[in-house]
Amino acid sequence: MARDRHTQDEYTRPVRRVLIGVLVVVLLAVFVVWRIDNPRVERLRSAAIDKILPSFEWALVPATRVTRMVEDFQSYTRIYEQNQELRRELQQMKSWQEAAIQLGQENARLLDLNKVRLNAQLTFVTGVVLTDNGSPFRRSVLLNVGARDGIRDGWATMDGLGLVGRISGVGEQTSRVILLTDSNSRVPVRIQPSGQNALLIGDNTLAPPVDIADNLEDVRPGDRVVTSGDGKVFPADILVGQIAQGPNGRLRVKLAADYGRLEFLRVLRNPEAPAISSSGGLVSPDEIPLSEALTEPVEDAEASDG
Amino acid sequence: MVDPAATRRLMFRGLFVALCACIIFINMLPLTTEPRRVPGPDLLFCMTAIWIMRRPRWAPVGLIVLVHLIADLFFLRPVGLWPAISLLGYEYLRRKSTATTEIPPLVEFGMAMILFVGLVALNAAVHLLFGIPHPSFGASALHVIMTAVAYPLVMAFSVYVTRVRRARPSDFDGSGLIS
Repeated sequence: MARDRHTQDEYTRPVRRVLIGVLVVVLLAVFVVWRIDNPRVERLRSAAIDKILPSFEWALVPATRVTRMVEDFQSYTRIYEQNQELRRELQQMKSWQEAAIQLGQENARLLDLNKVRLNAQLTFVTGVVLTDNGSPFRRSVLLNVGARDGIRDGWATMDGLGLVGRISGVGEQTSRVILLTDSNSRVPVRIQPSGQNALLIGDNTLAPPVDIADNLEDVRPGDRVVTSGDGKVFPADILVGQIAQGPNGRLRVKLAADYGRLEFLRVLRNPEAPAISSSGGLVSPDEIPLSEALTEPVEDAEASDG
Repeated sequence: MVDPAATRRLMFRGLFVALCACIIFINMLPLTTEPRRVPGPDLLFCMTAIWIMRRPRWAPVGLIVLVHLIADLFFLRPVGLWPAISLLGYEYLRRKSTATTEIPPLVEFGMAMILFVGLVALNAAVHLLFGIPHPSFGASALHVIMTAVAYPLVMAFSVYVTRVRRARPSDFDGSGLIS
């Protein structure tokens, strides 16, 4: 018995070793190709996901629903504290509501005076979140809208309230959104009311830090952060969040979008977004002078890793 | 006539692929889109290592590479790097497990974890070499720790639920090969 196994090993081992070696070399070659011709392989990746994922959609939706229901059930245990908290928040909201109504009336009057037309080009497509990416170190979600629905690389994505991320990788029926929290995400933002330009840098936490280009002193916790529209990647003036100060004094952005429950996302149509055809092609030539103001005006989500 | 051992092997290979698909599927459920403090364990590694050390022929190289490549595509990792690196590790485990008939579970656990640390380090080194951003040292360390925590659980699942155990004398076929 043991002798037989031994002789079999002697026959197969050298051949096997060579085969394994070849396999490893082939895999490494795939990796090197990925590194060199990134956009092409990433397109291949979205095409593959596009092929495989829709066939699992029937299972994804109920599984997600059930686990979320369990989570909701667990939250019943904290219902008293939540109730108190909600009462307090409601109290605050009432005062805000009052302010909002007044502002709304004022705005209506001013718009009427001005005869302003809102930007008609900025329409949106709504998609449902299918999956997140599964890797512990990357932050992205997959939407059920794709090239079929006219989605293009680079378009901004928001939930009802604030910016969520950027389309990166479009398949026929699905598209991937790199979230602002992903460590590859860089978004040019403006801090209101001081009007400072800054760069929002994803670092895998819920409150990404901002790199402020100009004057740090003018920025206070609580300031609104909106997209600046630099680099023409995103339309300007989409709400991102509020400035908050981290424990070590670093300024971070408390995101307005509800990252705990991303279910429906709006993809903003942005016909000006430049197409990405090669690595390093994210910055179109006429943007170069702009990029001197900021170190890196557009996010580099394509050169990615796990 | 169909050889019963061959049918069984085929069945378990199917089960292996199905379980791997389940692991990838569970990882991709959008349960929480908030960044997690603690990165999840690498269940795919645990399962493959455990199957290889118990029944090498039920986890053939082709299937392992296929599953890992698909996981690469879905998990947004550099395509082909982790399959190549982990394949080296798996083959090392395969050699170890055919040379010695009996490995105590604790030794097996230690071996797999030391190997995993080595593979993660190698992976990080290649990332560094090619200028690809890699998660911080702390996050990687937590990832390894979580994997170490998950390993015994996956081992228990494999042994008691899916009944992937080391071959016993009754499992040897006429020519003395493990079925």
